[in-house]
Amino acid sequence: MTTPTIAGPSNGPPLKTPRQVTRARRLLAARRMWAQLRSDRAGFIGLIVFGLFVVMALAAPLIADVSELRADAGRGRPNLAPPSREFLLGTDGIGRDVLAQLVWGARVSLYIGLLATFVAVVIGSVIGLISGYAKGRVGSLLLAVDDFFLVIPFLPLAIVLAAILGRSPNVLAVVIGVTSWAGSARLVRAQVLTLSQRGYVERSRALGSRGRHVVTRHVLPGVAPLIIANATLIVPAAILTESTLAFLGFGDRNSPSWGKMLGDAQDAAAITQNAWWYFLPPGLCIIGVVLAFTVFGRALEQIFNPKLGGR
Amino acid sequence: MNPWFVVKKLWVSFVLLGFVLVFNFFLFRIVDRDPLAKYRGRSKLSPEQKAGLIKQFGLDGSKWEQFTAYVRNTVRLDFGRSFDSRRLVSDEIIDRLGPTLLLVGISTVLTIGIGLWIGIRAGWRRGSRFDKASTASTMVLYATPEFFLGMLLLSYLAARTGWFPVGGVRDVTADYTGFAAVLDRAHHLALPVLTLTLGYLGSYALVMRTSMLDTAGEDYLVTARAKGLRDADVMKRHAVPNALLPSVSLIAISFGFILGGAITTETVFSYPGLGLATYDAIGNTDLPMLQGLFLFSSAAVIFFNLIADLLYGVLDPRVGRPE
Amino acid sequence: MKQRLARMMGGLTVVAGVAVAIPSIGSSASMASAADDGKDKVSFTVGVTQDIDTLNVTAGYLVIDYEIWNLTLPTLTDKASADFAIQPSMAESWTGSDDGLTWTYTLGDGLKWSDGEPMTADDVVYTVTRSIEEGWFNHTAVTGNLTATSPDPRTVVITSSVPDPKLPVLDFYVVPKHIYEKIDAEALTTYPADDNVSGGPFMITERTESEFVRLEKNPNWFGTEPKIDEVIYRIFATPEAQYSALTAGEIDAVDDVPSSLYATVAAGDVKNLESIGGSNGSFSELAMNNGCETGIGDGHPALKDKLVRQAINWSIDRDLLIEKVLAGTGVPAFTIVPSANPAFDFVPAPGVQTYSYDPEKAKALLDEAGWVDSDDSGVRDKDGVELNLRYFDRSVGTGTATTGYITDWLKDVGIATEVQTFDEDTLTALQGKGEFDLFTWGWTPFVDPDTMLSYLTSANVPVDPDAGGYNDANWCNAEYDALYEAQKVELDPDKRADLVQQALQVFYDEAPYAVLYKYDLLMAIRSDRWTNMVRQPSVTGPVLFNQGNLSYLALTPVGGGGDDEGSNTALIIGIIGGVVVAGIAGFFLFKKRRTSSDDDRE
Repeated sequence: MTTPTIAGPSNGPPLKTPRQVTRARRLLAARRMWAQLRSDRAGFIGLIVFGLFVVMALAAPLIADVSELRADAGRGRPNLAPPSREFLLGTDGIGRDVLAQLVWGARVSLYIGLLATFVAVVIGSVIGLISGYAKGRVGSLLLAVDDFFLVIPFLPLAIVLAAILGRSPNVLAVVIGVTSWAGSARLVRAQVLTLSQRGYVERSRALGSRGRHVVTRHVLPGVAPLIIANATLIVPAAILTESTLAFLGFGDRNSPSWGKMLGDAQDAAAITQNAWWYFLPPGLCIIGVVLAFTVFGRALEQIFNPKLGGR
Repeated sequence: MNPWFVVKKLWVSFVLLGFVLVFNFFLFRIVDRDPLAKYRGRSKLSPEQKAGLIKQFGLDGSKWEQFTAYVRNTVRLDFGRSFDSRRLVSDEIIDRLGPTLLLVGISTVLTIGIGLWIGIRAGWRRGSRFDKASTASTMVLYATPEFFLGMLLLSYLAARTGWFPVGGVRDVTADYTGFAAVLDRAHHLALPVLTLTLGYLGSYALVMRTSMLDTAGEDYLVTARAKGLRDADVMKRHAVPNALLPSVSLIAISFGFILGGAITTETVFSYPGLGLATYDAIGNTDLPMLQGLFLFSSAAVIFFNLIADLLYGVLDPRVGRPE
Repeated sequence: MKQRLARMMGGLTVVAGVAVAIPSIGSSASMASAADDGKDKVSFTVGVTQDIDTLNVTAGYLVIDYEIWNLTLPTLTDKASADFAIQPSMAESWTGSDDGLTWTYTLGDGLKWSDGEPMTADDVVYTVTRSIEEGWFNHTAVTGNLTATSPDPRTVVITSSVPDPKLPVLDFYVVPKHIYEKIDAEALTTYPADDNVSGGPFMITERTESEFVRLEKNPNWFGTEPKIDEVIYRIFATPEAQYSALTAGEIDAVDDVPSSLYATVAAGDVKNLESIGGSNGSFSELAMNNGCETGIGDGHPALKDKLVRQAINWSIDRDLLIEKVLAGTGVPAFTIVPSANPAFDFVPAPGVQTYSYDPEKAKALLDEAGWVDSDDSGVRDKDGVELNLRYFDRSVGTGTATTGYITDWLKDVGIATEVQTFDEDTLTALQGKGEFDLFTWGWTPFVDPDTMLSYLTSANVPVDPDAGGYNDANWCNAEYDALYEAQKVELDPDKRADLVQQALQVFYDEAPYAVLYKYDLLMAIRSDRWTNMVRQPSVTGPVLFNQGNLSYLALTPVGGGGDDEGSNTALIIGIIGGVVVAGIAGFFLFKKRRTSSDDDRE
């Protein structure tokens, strides 16, 4: 991991406080990152595609009225009607607009995916930081907890937790987050251990800094890029998990996520009836958003970890 | 290998198993599930019958007594009785183990074999057409939910064409023996195996590729080339063995994921293994069954992790030396 | 060491290739041998989506359980296919006393269980006596008021304590005494009934959970010899897979065609398939907690008011549910359906407008009941209590599909709902404690209307959270109870039918449930292989999963029963499929070899 060298803008005003120096340094790092990302074509496209999905989710109310999600929205319409001018993606098994389900489903799927990632990253970082930094009993206990969450079969655990805690999107996000932080804690811990050997951390400690100060000022900035890169790889996994839960019927039955659409499509025997407009779009959306985020995440990983080299 | 390393790894596995045991006990007692729900409003059970059932489910006595009984029984591989079928959980698991071992075992071997091979080729020839094509396709496979893949395969390779059976583990109307029986099983396994394999191929290939890229820059490879060794030899003798190390632990960890993947795959293909048993047990809130399945699959993952760790010790001389 | 590893890797790849190739060989070879075998056994394979929970007749209650008992446990009398009229079975003949309270049955000569033990009057007496003693819930509805004696092994004398219009029909399952007497009451709760001693046309010979159940012909069966050698129930996890297996010819019949596909099958548009479903009286309802005073529980106070319950009935669009959820395979229903025999169905008085989709009327009724939205929250309230109802959904089953509709409609008229999902057993337990407001479920009635009607009497209202009770509306109504008691002892069929109608009219007015619809069982069969199925009742009833085993006895294979043609097609297709997979495997192997030789050249 290379740390950007301190180099203020040559023609700007002289930097005064250490804070300004830090800020300038971070700005520079961010700019360089952006440039690198721009040069990674696949990663950049991934980011754009993901952005499009986000726009689609945000624009859902403009594309289709929320009343289209009502169960009886299909009143007076044929079930499983193929695409037409009125319904660009046809109708589902009970005569509702598939496109409406799809765009509103984007909200649920992305929301759960991102919130779950946030939960996982927060838990993973905290546990990783503490277990990496704290020596002795606390460290090894946390390590054992981490190991435990790595070995427990996470899909059934997620399903059981969802059954205990309820099935609203928020609960599902927390459940998925709680069951998928172990890997990132492991990564963060390893990075903390490496950083701890670095000169500046040891110096800071030798100068009498408190543990919290060392962690927030020195260790955290050092592991932050790794956490971000890792987070971008948790998002697709979380989205896949949500879709699996919903498909199996253990998700939130009131929210139209893509996984639920696929489950409904199966119940309506859409594949047998060749209703591709019903089962393909949600499937392709899952693949698309997961792929986009994976590619983007890998690009980020490469930027933060240049050892991997270009492709 | 240092014996202390082995002891330490064994100890860690043991502690983890203990963790799982305790967690399991509490997880399935938080769930508010009436063990006699199946009888309510139907049979009028006598108090003796009720007490007998509660005892059979291991739910009599104080929480502490229940816990000690639970630990004692688990050690004796007695996981209690299913709420749903009222059979012993251990019997149920044994019945379902065979099909799942076959499915997960074959898929794991295939995934490892094909995935690592793709990763090695792609990583060694970075930027080649093979690399680009394989990385793109493995990424798409990685992004595809296995239940979606399974639905498509089921519909197009089984239902429409009749090439493969729609589900199950064998043709129950025929009395095959010997080789014919084996072939019949293989025929039924093909699609579930294909689903699981394709579903998990991506992660192996990608990890192996990255690992090869890491290795490719190492000094000793340059040295090996400088010595005039042929490219293929450098790859086979020097690069691959080193690059394999990270994949070893991935295999152990992903075993748990594949068990999870077996839930959806077995459900899509009506394949009567542990995955479908888990799905059914969750649907029925069959707590003893879930408890047994949880413990069993966690133990399996811990076991494979241990094997991977020990293998790591054998393969990488740096690991396992006294610290 | 490292070299060995590299070689291992190579080996692994080869193993992988071979493993992929095996299924391809499998597909061709297994099919080939299937054709060669020229299977001499005639198998009838039914795809089902429900696994047996237990074979124990004192504990099971799933539809599939009853179907298996219909094939393995004898009854004293049988029911005609056309109209359920009484037929001989174990009993050859019967005579009644003048007061209709005592009936004497003469059993057939030389009856035997499948294990060779004699099947005698003793078995019947044992079943009646023990079922009453231990309250076997599958028996007591019929045996509860009876006493049985056996003057000799071929004679059973049944005496009823009250006039019983069901007699002389006696269709409870007779259990083998020589097996059951070894199992005490406590052991019976977990008895798996895997002795597989059968007194019906078939006996269970093999069973794997979640996979299949095999029943073979019982050599000691006393009735018509079936033309099939074995019946297999294959269990599928999803209806779509099950249907696919039927169209692909892997199985012969299915119990649950996805509703969206059924219309095309029924219209004869699917090659080789024939619809064999029909109504056995099954219906779905939105149950409400009526909060009977003598019962237990914590139902919402609003549901105690008949007007609120009627309002809920008026806010549901049954026609749309039938069109969308059932794809047209059902009819609206407004009260319980008391019998599998449609002759007992509720007939509304002429000129009366039955419940239909009328949100305005629903709102008016709620206003009249005093539930108004005083705080502009969108939810009605009264005396500071919000009209917010718990709505329990089942984690499996068709309840799910209707939930979204009903909760939306209730919201439209100002009733908020809070949906929670439970497995069936947990929901049953909650119902037994009276701790619910609304839930969707259904019933399948027997032929005699008594049992279904009895479920909603106040005697069945749960009073003990441990014991529960069948009355899942927690509803008690003295008028209904009186009519129920009257029909129970009315021996004149016409008068009895009239009493049943009166009871249903009370049910309609009081609206303890919002009954949604009576639905058809969506079954289909391979018409290219099978013929001679028997509907029960005639015309409208289903062929399988009805009130007996007549279809299994009559089923005849078409043209001697070979599915040879299917195998040949499957063989050819199997070979092609195998080649494709082998091709993929070959591709990888070949690729491997070629690239490595490339490397060698470099």
